[in-house]
Amino acid sequence: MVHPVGLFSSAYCGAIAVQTAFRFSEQVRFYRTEPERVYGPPPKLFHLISLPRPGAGVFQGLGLIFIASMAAAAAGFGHTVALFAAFVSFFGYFPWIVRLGYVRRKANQIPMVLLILMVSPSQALPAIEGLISVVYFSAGIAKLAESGPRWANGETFQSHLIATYLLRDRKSALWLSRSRTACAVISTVVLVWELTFPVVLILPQYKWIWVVTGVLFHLSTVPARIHYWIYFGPLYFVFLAPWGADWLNRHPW
Amino acid sequence: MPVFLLAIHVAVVLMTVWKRDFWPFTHYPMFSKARKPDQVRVIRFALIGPGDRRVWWKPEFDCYSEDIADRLHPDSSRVVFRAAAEVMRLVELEEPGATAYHGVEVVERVLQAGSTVERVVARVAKH
Repeated sequence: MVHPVGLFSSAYCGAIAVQTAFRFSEQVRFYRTEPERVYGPPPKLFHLISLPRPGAGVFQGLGLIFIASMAAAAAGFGHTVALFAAFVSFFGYFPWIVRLGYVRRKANQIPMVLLILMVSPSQALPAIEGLISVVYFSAGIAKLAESGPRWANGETFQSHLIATYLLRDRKSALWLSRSRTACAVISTVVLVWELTFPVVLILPQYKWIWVVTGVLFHLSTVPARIHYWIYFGPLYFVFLAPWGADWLNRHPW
Repeated sequence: MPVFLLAIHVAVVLMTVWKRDFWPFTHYPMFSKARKPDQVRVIRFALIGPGDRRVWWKPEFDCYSEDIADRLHPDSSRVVFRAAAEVMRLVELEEPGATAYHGVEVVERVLQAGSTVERVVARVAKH
């Protein structure tokens, strides 16, 4: 009998393990560039605890422990112990790569998900759906708080596209920036989608509208090298887990 | 829902309200500031090679080229020099012993009337 929470746990932990393993050598190289020389010290844990820079061997060891723990959790070996090991090693490994574009803010949910799976697995799926909703709602509120409704008039999105072109020579970004109307439509859709994402919690029968829009939105940012699919994307398994478990139970191998 | 689950969600909402980070609880202000297209200005770094040939610096970790530039105040020569020194350090890390360039240019780029306009803010020689 496949349980949705177990399926989500396996899919999520497995995806994070694979993504980290695939990028491990790159992350070690980033660590070796001493990013704190550019950005200052890494974020303090809960804004209180400064984390000492580990030596290179310790850093790599923590990364390997994280990968192995997530893989073990995915495979169901010592599930709770593996989750705990991943939770602890996260705080030793990720602060030193948190400035990487695909890690910055996108990996923050990992320890929260691990904690939820460890402490309250029976309510993991609604809790994680709630977490995703809060993240998107928070992003929408931040836009309104900073810029008001004019954020959706297309100019801000145009500006980011122009900046992408000037920084990375992406002609597709320049091409899209030429249509103020298209930029306004995209901006409005994004803002409304973010602010209304909590609807998936209240009206779950309509959640697919927000989930599919989210998939399309995050796919559209890949050409601009904004990779939400790394570290944040596996959260979307929470929407597929109930359906996947039901299908697997009706079609046992 | 258990209290601690609610606390995780409340923490994220509070970070948004306070506009602060208590890592890993953070707010999500990316792209939230309103901007006008005619005010977009970016800084890029170019490596100067033989014959003053210019090649854009494209580091393995492209967050560096943008983030070093973001911290740049072109009116402060000390900050500009420090940024250029960081660029040279990172180039040396990626290509140890690199000799193909002899300096770094800090270039401001804007889009005017559909065309890219560049202005060299500073040129720092490699020592």
